[in-house]
Amino acid sequence: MRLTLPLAAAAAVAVSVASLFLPGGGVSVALADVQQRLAEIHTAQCRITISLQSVGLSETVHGTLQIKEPGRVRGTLQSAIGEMITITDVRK
Amino acid sequence: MPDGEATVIQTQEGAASPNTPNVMDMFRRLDPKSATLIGQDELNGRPVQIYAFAHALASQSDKLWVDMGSGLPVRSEYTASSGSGTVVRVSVDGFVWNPPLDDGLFDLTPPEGYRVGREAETVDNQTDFIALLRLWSSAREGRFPEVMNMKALGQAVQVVLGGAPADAPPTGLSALEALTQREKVAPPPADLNRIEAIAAERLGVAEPSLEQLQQEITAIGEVMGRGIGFFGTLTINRGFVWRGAGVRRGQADRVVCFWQTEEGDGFRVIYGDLRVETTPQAPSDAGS
Repeated sequence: MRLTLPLAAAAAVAVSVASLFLPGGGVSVALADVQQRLAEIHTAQCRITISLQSVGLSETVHGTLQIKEPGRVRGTLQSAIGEMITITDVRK
Repeated sequence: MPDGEATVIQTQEGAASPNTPNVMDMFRRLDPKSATLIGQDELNGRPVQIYAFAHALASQSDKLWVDMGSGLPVRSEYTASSGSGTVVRVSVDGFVWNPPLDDGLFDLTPPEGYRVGREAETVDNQTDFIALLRLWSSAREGRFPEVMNMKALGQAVQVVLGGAPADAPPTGLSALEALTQREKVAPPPADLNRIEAIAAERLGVAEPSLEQLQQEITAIGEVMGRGIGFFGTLTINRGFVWRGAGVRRGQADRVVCFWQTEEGDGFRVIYGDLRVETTPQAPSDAGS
């Protein structure tokens, strides 16, 4: 079976919005050091969990992301009803 | 390989889009000035610092856990909630940094037994947003909506895919809620009539077959999901302005909406005939 659309679409919305961070005037922290460390990283693998809870609805998708720079991401998402692979290549 | 059918969504090579999720890019783009250190804890037996990030909406939050030894992220969590009770949480953890990854993992050839859900990703989802405007105006006999926000888009999902009357008052469901719940409710007969008309318009045929109709319903849902996601990015950091009230599709001299280009050097303007132009100045209040 394929992953049903609504959850995938909603996940796309969530990931899209999640990627935006706005200045808020908070306390300056050592995140610059984190970002400096990330400059030394060229591949990564991690787990991703997307959960949606609403009235009468509770669904969770688990998956893994594999990232190889520049610009390549492979995601494998699994839910109770199926599996979806997303392969992204945005190298210029 | 799972039982039955699975889906591969593949993206053609092209310019990177802000809508393309890449966790490492997201971390690199974090603005330290927007972060607040909210505490220290232990995660998997290791000391971590936890940062919270200011967000445009109080209903959304972002947190990042950083390993104090390695100085690298070990967990991130994004949560969004609505007033009507829907909560979305996206968490990323279990990082392995710099593992060897074979190029074959990123081969765009679908693995055996998988079907392709979408053959090409647009450079950004502007195309899907325009398609969303076309779908919605089609369901409203050519009229663009009076307002454009996430609740209005929730109504669009319900009108286009859920069988709600085109001029029914908004139910208050956000776009996300409408997308997640629309398949939980059996569509009334009117839904099939409307979706059939929209599918016929998209396909350019008088009467789509049942198979075509099923494929179009899936495709329309995907288009709306991507278009809504794109709209979300426009409202947060691109100065989106809606001027569609009172405009009918085809009115080439009327501005429907506009927003700043990603580069900040101009404005993307959508007109009533759904053409897109890039202008150095924002359209005047008088219209076009």
